[in-house]
Amino acid sequence: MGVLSALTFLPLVGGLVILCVPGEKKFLIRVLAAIVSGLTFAATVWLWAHMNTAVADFQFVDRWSWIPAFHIHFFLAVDGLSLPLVMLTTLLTLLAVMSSFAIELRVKEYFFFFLFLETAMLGVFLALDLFLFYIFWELTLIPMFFLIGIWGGPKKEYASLKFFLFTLFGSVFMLVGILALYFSSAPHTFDFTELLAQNSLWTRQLQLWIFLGLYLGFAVKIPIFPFHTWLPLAHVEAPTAVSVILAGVLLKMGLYGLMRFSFALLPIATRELAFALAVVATVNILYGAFCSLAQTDIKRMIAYSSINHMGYALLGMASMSVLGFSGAILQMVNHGIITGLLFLLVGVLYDRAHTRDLHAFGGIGAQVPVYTGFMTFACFASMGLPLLSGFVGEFLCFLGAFQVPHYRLLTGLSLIAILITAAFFLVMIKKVFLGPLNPKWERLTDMDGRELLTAVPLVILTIAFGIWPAALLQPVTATLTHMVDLLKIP
Amino acid sequence: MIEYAVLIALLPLLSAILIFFFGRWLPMKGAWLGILAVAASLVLSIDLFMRFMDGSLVTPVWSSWTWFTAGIYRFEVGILLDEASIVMLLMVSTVSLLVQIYSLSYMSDAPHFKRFYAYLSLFTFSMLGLVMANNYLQFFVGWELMGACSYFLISFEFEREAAGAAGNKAFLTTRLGDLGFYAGLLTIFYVSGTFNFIQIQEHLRDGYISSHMCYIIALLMFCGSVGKSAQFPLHVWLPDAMEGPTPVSALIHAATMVAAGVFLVARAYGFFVAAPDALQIVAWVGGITAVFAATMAITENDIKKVLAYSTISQLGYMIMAMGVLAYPAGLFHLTTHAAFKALLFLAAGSVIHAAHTNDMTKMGSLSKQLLLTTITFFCGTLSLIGFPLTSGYYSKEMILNSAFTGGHFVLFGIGCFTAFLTAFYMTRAFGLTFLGTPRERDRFAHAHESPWSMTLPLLLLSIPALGLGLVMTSSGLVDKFFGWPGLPATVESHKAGAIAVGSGLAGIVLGGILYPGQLPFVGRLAVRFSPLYRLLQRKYYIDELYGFLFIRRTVDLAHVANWFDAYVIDRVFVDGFGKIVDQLSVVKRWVNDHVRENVFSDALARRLQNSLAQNYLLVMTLGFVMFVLWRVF
Repeated sequence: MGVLSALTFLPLVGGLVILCVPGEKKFLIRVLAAIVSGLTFAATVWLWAHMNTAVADFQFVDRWSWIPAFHIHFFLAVDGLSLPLVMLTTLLTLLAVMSSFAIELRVKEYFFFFLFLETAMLGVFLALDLFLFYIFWELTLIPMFFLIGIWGGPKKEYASLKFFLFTLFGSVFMLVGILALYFSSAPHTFDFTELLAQNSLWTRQLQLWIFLGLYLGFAVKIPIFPFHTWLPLAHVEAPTAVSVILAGVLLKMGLYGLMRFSFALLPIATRELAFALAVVATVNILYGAFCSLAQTDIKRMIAYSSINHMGYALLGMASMSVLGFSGAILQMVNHGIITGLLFLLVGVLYDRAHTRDLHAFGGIGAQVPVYTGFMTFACFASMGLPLLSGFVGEFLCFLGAFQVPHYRLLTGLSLIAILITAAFFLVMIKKVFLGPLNPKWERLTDMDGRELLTAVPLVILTIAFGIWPAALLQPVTATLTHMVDLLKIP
Repeated sequence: MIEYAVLIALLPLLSAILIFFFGRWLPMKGAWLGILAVAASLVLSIDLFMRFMDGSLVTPVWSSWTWFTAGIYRFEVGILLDEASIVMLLMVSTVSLLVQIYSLSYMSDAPHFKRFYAYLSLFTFSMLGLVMANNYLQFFVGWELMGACSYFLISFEFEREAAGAAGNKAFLTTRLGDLGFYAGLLTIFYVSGTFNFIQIQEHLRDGYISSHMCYIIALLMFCGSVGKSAQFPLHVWLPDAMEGPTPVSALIHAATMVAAGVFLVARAYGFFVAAPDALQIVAWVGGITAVFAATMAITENDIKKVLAYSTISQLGYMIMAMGVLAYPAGLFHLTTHAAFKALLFLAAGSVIHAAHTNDMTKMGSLSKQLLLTTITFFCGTLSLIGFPLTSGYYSKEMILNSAFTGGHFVLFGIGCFTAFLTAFYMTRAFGLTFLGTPRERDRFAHAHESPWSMTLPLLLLSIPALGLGLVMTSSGLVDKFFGWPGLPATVESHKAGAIAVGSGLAGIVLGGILYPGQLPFVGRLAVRFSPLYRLLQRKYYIDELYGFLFIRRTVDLAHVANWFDAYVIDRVFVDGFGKIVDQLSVVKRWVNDHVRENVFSDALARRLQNSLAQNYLLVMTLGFVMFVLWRVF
């Protein structure tokens, strides 16, 4: 068993250990969960330190025959594309676990599902056998379904079911696409590298159909208009930590899948559909921004802004250039960090005020200065202020897209969203924090030590990647350059 | 070896960080750190200036580091020292230093004193980083950071509703212009594959960039300038920005940040020169802004807002100068304006400090109580008016002169009329504030001269406000510093000069007659022409117009999108799809009832009763069937 298998299953094993602990020892369970997720994060740091980022190859390959009858392999490996997402996953899980210490209901099950979820997410980013990938992809649904359905808000059942069915709907088409890949290959295989070696034999027609199937699966997850309505609902009902993971990691699974499998395996279809993708991305960008502007629930607002931000990444990807791909990766990671921070902070406020209504507050900036500082920081980061991490990713997505002549109009239109994004964040800041203090909140308390502990790392990363984006770009460039080459006309 | 110049920007950044995190434990909450850092920046800037003057620093010199690379493209941070940036560095660090000294007393009672200094330092860093930038991307980074600092400082007294609203308005209005700048950046990269000023200049010189592209880029960049430099039609945020503390108005909304828009045009001048049509637009936007803002200042009673309108108007002059190919005159006016406008704002702050109001109708005769403030304000006024031999005189004359000799007679006329209006409203402001009889006795009696830390910056700023123009003109420094290769040399036209000076003097005379001696008569005039008076007081109803045309429409669009999302996409499309599936489950129930009972055993049926697993299996099977069908046909 290799490093990556150990890394992937470490959280699940930890979760199983937690299941054996008596349910009333809540403190022990929490500490155990933190230790396990901390160890997993440490393992990814080790991975990063030991990876050769100068080459595009798959590394730490962990591959053995799993179901020989169907030529299915257990195949995990890491490269420049998956590394940042793996690190994002383990970091956000660690912080989300820490921010979940306040959960009192069914603690044991909660942390089990959380660690189970981490294993599934890591599997998605590391699996290179499409069958295995599909298994992990579907496995993320189960813990997520329970995490929202049990620990969620008032409409949790409806939200979790909608989330589940919606994603399932997409997955079916994805499965069809994967099976089509399997049957198109000779000998039949789910192995990504083997498929890649023979994709030049597939006709345009076949590629387009498979692309469509995979696309539906990924589009629901990203989410791309019009498959997005589960997202605001799920966010509003999900507990804080689950929102962090949902926005921070789960949405990136869709973009990752699109880039890793659809783009690489189906270059003809990708080239043909790239413009359509750019159009869809523009719709996402504008639609998400305008919908955000109309929200009164802060969490819903951030959820729609995620739709907008995923649109930037998709636009960058649609440019099929290293600039755009780099922008997309940066945008994925930085959106995870910044939006994770935003959801954490909204949770802090909700825990105290039990409301997220924009109009319910007013002037609390004087009452909770530290919280106000953090929230303002996160909002400015999310609207892409330079020297904070959101800017470079967004900029490279635009820059990449603008280099493609017939994307120019779309890119120009998308720029409008930058203004709208600023508008809804500033309106939110003004309504909640500025102005005279609403006497109702005179007893509101500022952030406590544990909340600071979960927020500060994300703040530091936001600044660090803002000032030094090369830290993220350097490890991915070789892989991305290789992936762009795969898309070129042979 | 000019790498050390980067310290000019980094020192204020360091002080901002230190003040922000450790200020609460430091004496004076760390304000001295900010002052010390910017003083060091000033010393370094002076050193650069001296080395440039004695010829040991041959410009342009540059140095750069890689910020990040994406694929084959390298994005850099760097410094480019040429004549314009050396002067700007000197100017920004000087004004910032004086404003920070001034704020020691002015802001001493303010809550969040520490944060104020942190923001000022951060702003100084952003502006200096922008000024020394060697590429457009870094310029944009500084530009946006300044915008954020401006937002935080305008809404500094956030407990007041108006301050927060003004901050939002400023940030969003300038960001609207920034969209153009952003698009300009993308276009520049598209045509030249780099953001480096010097490389792009070479591309322009060698004719790699078509004049059509230059036209587009120039206009896009100009959008950014229009926002930042508060040009018509995006001028609306600057009067509201006066909600910020007065030192902020002096530093950011008068002397430095708003001038960055002009500096952007200067940096991108190669594109403008290659596109005469763009220059025309620039010239006219500037000219219209100049006269338009001046008219609004006539009826304004808030002393800071009068100065705000005059800032817009003077920025209009600079933009107009850029448009009529008077590049040296534009940058020259930028420099002198920084001195006299910072002076005027700080002096106005001293007045407000003493009188506890912004409203000039409640002041009067303050010269008897505030001698130093009066004298320095007077110096600033003279310079702004363009009174002969003051700094403002030289730079404004140069602009009007260029407009005249360049054949832009209408713009020249507009400029002269603006000069008349400027002289009029500044005489009015001076008269209302310092002369006549006190209109509120208590206020007058309690007004006292400000402490030395406030008056010293005033005295120091009076020197350049009066003398800078003369020094620079007589020693030929204007052409040495603000040259652009290939521009027509400035020709002195005595006729133009006489008309310009004459219109200024006429304004002084008219203002002097009416204010403060003829206040009742002025009041009757306001009643007699009340529609016009109200039009000016309401700023031509532009705020209301924008609110109706753009802001309300944007919000409407957002609500439409939201309604569409909730009812069409989610209700009809998604839930409707669910309903259809639900209807299909009639089939499933039939299968349950009739097939399964007969086929499967009871135990298996119970296990399948779990509806989730059932649905799951159903869709998977359906998918597989679809797949098989597709493969077969």
